[in-house]
Amino acid sequence: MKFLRIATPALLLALCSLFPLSAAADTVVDLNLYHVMQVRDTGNDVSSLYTMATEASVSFKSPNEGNVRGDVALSIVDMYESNNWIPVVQIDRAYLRVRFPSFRLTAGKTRVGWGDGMLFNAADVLFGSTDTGVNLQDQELRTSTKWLTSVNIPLGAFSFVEAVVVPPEDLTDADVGKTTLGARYYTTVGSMKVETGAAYRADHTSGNPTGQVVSPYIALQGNMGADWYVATSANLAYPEDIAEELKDSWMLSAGLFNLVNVGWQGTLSFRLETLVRPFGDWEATTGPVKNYGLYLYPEISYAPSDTWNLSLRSIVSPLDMSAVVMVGGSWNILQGFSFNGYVTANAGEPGDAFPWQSASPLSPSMSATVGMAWVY
Amino acid sequence: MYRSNNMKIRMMAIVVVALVSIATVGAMTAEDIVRQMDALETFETSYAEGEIVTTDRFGVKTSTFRSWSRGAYDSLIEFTSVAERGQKVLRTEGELYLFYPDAEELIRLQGAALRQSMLGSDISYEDMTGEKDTLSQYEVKLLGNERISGRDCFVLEFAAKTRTVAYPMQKVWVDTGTYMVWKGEFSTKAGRLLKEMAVLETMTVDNRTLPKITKISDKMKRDSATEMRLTHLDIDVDLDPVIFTLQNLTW
Repeated sequence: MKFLRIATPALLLALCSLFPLSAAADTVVDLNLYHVMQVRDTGNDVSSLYTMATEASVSFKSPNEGNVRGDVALSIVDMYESNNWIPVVQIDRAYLRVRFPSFRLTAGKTRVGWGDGMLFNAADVLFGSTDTGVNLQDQELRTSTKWLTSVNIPLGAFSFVEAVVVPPEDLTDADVGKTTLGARYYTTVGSMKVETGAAYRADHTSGNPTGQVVSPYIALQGNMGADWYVATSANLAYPEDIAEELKDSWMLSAGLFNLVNVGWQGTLSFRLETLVRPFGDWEATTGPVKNYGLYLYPEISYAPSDTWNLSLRSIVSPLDMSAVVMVGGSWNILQGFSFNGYVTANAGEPGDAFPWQSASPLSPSMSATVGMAWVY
Repeated sequence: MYRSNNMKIRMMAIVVVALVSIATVGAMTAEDIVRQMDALETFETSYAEGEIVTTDRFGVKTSTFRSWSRGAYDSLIEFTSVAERGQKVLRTEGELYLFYPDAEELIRLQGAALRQSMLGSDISYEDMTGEKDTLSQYEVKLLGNERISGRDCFVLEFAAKTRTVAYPMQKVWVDTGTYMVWKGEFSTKAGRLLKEMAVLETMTVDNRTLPKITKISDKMKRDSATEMRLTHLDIDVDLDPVIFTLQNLTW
């Protein structure tokens, strides 16, 4: 275990030296070191764990010049496997972007951000922003990337169309027919942003796994005192019963965001997001897979100064009255350097969406992390 | 003789110019001064490089940036320092967009979110990209003249016409010769001082005197100040209109 702690930074340094492109590229290292304390209540036993963990990433970005851009970002994370933490190197981003006179081409491992929403976003039909298995301590909750190719065609200063091809991710079933296709149109109407599009894939989760499904969406964003955003999407499946699939997959997400000045020098921001599945379960269920009709994501962030930030985030399941709650803070004391501390706990009965009792070591009942981060 | 006549002509010219200037200044209204002030700060186009230096009791934080502007409303800022590299802010009339390249995230900011501090500095997004049509946002009153940094200045008081501006009350000291703002005090409606601005160093670009180093102190904080330093400035340069589009923002 101790060896692994030492090996992780060493591996990172070795990786840095392996990349000769770093001489020409802008290199950015994001290093996080944490003390991690976890408590797990299995119902029969309460156990604890204390360790140190590392998250480190190195990004090699091309200079912001010319008509070609590239970015390679590698990270080292501790993965839990066979009762041990194993350092694993993963590719976060690796893409090339080329600008032509009338369109832009992107190919590689990256992300496309469709719709709006910190946690819940029904418009994110390519990556999915509806699951609740996120780390609330992360600054960005949705950062997953995929191997894809996209073409972006501008239609004006604030309008564009975008087409995306995502090859099959599962190499054991990588038939060309499993390719996911997507397209969207982005524009503004008056002071409101309007975005609409669809994804096509050769199977879907809620019905016939060999069927074909098109998932259209529409997303709107504007301001009425507070910033607001709404989105809705559904699956149109073939040869499934269209009405049944539409009903099962229909979802809406909505959010509100506002910021007010508080006291001498502080700001207080509020965000409330919701995910609604009109034909989901509207009564508490005890099965391992939940399809609840309603989830909420409240977030309150208080910055007493420009260096301090305190935040409270929670994912709430009102139908079984359970929640996961995170309270934390960060202190950005020096250039790129900050101290961070977070406590996350589940509050729910066995069988709830967020139960206190946990059967898996990957889902502790409560965890606390204290550490530091430096971007350089 | 020729030399003597030449001297007389020059002296008369100086006197005439001075008299005309005095007459012009005397006839200027507060609104005229503000128009001149806005005109000085509004370029057909501009390109700048600079840094935002924030000092507090723990030390100094520096963020570097490049910016492009067109007319009174359009501007694009790209941060070039390590921690924020590639983050961009695009402001056009009535809209403000942020782009975070690592998350490929395009965020549209409106309303109160514009008042968020930019990169932990004493400068908000509104400060950075504020529209320069001051008279549409403020009632203005000429309070008199004072000397600041050895320069004669008009003292103007602004009272907000709308609730959408960052500072309901402003008091600024405008150079009577160059119309550059040497000093500013930004307050709440009740008169509580929020921020103070002072120009520490100037530069001359295209026959205009412009701020090179501007210090902004947040009066709500102890031991904290931000300096905006321009290291390079070109004005009235040819800029591709594509710069002020989403296509370029997300590039």
